[in-house]
Amino acid sequence: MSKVWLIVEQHFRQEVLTRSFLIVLFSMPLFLSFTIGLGYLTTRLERKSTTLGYVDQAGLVVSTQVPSGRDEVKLLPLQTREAAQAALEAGQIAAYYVLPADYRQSHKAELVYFQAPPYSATSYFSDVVRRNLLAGQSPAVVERMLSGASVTVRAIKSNRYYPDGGPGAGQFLPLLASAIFAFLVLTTSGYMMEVLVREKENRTVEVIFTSVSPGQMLAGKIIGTVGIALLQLTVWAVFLVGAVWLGSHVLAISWLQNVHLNWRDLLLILAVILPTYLFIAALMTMIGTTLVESQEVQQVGPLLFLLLLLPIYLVIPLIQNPNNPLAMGMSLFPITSVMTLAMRSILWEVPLWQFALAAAIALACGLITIWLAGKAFRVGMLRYGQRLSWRDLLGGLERGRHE
Amino acid sequence: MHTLEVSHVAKAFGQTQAVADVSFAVEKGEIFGLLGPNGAGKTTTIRLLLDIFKPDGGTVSILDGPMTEAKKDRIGYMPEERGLYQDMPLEQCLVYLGTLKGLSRADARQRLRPYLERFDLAAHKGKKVKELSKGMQQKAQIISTILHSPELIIVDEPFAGLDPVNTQLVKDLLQELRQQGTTILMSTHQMHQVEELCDRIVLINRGRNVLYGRLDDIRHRYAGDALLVRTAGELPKLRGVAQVLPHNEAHKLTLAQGTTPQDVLEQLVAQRVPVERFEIAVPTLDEIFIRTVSADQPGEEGEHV
Repeated sequence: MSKVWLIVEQHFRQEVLTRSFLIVLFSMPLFLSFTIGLGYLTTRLERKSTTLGYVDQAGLVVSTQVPSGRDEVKLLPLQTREAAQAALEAGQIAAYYVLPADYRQSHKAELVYFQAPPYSATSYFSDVVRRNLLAGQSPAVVERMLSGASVTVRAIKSNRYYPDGGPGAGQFLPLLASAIFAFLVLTTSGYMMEVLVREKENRTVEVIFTSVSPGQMLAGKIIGTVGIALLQLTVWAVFLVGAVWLGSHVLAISWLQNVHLNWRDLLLILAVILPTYLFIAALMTMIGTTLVESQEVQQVGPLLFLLLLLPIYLVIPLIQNPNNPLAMGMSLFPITSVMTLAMRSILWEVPLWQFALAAAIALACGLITIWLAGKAFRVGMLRYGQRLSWRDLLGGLERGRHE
Repeated sequence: MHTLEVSHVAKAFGQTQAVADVSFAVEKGEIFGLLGPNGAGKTTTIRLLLDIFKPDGGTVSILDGPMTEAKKDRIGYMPEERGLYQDMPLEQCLVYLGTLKGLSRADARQRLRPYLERFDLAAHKGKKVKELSKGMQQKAQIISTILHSPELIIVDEPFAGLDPVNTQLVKDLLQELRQQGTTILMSTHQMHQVEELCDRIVLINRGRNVLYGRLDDIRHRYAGDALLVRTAGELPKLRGVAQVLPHNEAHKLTLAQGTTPQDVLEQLVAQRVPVERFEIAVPTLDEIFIRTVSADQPGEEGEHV
């Protein structure tokens, strides 16, 4: 087995079989489960059986059935306001409506309660009233009238349009992928710096360098780190798909039942994520060569994360014109490209060449940075206890060029 | 052909000249001592010859030429400070380091077993390295250095942290390896170990050679004008002796300028004094070390070889 792969395997095992990694690995699915569970719980609470009374002085309500009728809402007709009030006070009903005799003209009803009834119950009653008002119309007219205006949103400077009035959940998936990527960078990019600083601290690196070259060692560790990231992404993706399936098929959560995947943008964003992660891992490695203590790693990691989230701070100009020079530049700059492309792809079908160019730039930067990191590591690795300044680093690289 | 040849190497870190001008050669199958006081540049010299650092000047030839990736598998290196993965189980760590030296996993495991037994570490092979005592870690580091049967071994303070029993174990191992033809470069402060093990030495101070050659030759060179003499009766008065001092159960005679040991022996024989011991007083390496390094302080006229 090549020595690089031996280092990849060792680095992978060393980092994956730690308690902190397992905590990070499962924190995302646990968070996801918690969110979906909360959504489910909210839905369940809304479904709590509610009985609404109504006093129909207008003689309007003939039928209390609606096609999407909810079993958890029951309507109880009452003859007088006094009877309704007695039922409310006796706890037989949660609230009662009074439809006055002139309701058809005034369209004003009265709702009486001690504690506001759930929205699902009041919207059900509204639906019943509307259907009774439309009694006698053909079913097609009733449905058209009840579904309201059909709005297609089309931004002037966007080539996307949304017949449902806005982007669906599936169109946000690239953005979700980029958010997961940012989380991945936050949780794993520190590994590289920490591993290198730790091995410098305990001198293991000195023994390793008498067996392999600095380039082999760094390539092994960077590939190992990318492997760890892929493992995390895979585990999270499996949990995500599983959670969506569970939420939509078993728990019947409505907002999970209509996710339409935007495969093109999702796959393209993944194609940018991988080389970008390689670049960031290499960058972390190079920064790691200048640090002397593990504690410093904790200070540097978040700075990169802030840069990664730069597109979020600039969301307004990006949304206003997803094709302006700023958006184009940030789409190609390796650290901001993932988030920017994901945000732009909601509003604009970003051309394939922009994804391809962003991926190619990230890959090229990644490979160059790995090479530079190898040189820098050689310059800085044995300056035990001494911080490597950028002047030292550049001087060392310059000397290395002549060797 | 020398296994290792260092010629006028120099290395500076910023304003600090760690190694100014060091030269020596290590012959095949010998134990060579790299000596020097703290901060003399020993460890930097080792890192230069292992290609961990690039020298600013001079050349290093190792196993017949410059260092290459392939040659790394033929060299074993033990740094002064521990170089093992502290969070890994001992056996896993040693097997991993062995595979980086070109061994297959199975081969590394097979070679490891007898060494673990010999160094009394077999019962601890499943423990994390950080759970082992300092001495145990030192023994593990030595195993890691020799597991792949290197042609050249470079060990920095191999006896640090070892008790007398384990020190003897390591000494026996180094001598065995020399008998098998392995070349060993050893850096240590323990002069008695050097006297016992090394064939030749180089002593460096402030980044330069101050002594270099065969150990016996160096000791005789520093023997100077002193004798150790024990007689059956009282030591008579002798001509040409500047000073007489008791030395264990004998006398240490410092000869005056122009007097030879032969002159003293002739006087004793002429006076029919029963001589029980008569030898040239050869200084210990410790004494040579102190004299040489003291003489090499800034402003002193040192002896550079």
